Amino acid sequence: MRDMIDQYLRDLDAALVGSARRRRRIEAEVRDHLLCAVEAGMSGGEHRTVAIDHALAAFGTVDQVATGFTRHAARAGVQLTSLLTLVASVIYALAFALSTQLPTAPLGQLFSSALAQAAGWFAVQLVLVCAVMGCVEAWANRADEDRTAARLALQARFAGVALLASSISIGLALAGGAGRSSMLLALVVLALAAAGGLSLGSARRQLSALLRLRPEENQNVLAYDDVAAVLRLLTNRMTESPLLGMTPRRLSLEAPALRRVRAALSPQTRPWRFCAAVASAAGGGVAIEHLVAEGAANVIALAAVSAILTGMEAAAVVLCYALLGGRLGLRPRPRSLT
Amino acid sequence: MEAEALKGHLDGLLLAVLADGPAHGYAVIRGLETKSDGVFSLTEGTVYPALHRLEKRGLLRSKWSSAAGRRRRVYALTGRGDRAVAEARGEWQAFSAAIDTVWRTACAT
Repeated sequence: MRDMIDQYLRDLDAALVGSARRRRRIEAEVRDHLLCAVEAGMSGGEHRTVAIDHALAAFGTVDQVATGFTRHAARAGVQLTSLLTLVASVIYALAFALSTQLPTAPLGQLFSSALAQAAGWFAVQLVLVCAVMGCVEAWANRADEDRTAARLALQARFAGVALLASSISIGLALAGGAGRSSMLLALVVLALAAAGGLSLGSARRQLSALLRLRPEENQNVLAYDDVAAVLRLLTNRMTESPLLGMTPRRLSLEAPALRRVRAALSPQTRPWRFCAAVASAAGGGVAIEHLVAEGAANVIALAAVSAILTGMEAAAVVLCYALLGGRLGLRPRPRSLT
Repeated sequence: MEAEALKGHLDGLLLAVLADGPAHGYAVIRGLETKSDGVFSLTEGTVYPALHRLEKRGLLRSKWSSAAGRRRRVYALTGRGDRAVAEARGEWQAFSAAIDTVWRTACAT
């Protein structure tokens, strides 16, 4: 009849997350508990089969027990891995920035191709945004048992795309004729991307466990809502500060206006308007950067360059939105017809 | 009593049981049941995550021992755990006195 206890322990082991050492410890503790309970039942006059049934019933179902262990481990894991991802992301961003700014470095210039640089910067921006958001979310919900795991899963998805983009960037650089001496630099950047990937993989494992526990939260969470949640958190923190409280309070008074702007530029209801706004902002920023760097010698040329840059940004935004919008939570997935 | 009713108090109760001395998980659960005259009868498997959590917070320490030919994890309070028990006891006494006062007032009216 110990088979029933062994089967229970096998099921529990399959439902747990964490290291093998941790699972072995839990298995030993639970086995000892169940055997103690069976012995107590039998010494009270119960038949062995009945005692085992009572011991298992009192201990709880595998799901109940695994949920308790997994929730604690997953929350701790998410906090740690969020921090690790942020550290790896900052180092990665610095390494990438350095690799593009050292044309006379003895190793040679890895990201000399414009396309490789564009993909690399795209990756850097995504990596940093999702790493910062992940850390803020994990920190803000550190005491919350019912934190929304789906939001962290969304950020992990962003980071996955960023790592893919960084690999493409390095691939493009090497395919575009980056010198053999650049291989070392490529290896460094790849190692950093892999470090981020490892911490990300760990976070994903924890998140999957959380999502398994609360499948109702595995919904169509949107990145836009995630940004809004982080902004709300930061605003609340600032409002608590007597020195910085004025601006957020004023902002909160203008909340209806902000809501109107949000409705007008919502990626869910006005996707193309949203794309146009992002493209204009990005193109405008690049044009201003160009103006600062090159000066305003010729207004017509500047206008033409600005228009071209804005157009390029618009094309990139629309392309990203079309290809990755659903995956990155920028637009809802199509509803099921069933 | 339902586990939901104990939410927020379980950690303090486990520490209080372990204030009597080191014990393994099964003994902690039986101790809780005995000390509460059978009122606190939890789903036993949910107590172990709480014990692990308290150990992680540095309020408990644990080590393996051997009993009846099998491995057994024995938990004991740390110095911080001792202080936490004293704090939790003080807070609970103040809280329950306040609740008691409210109920006595309600009964009197």
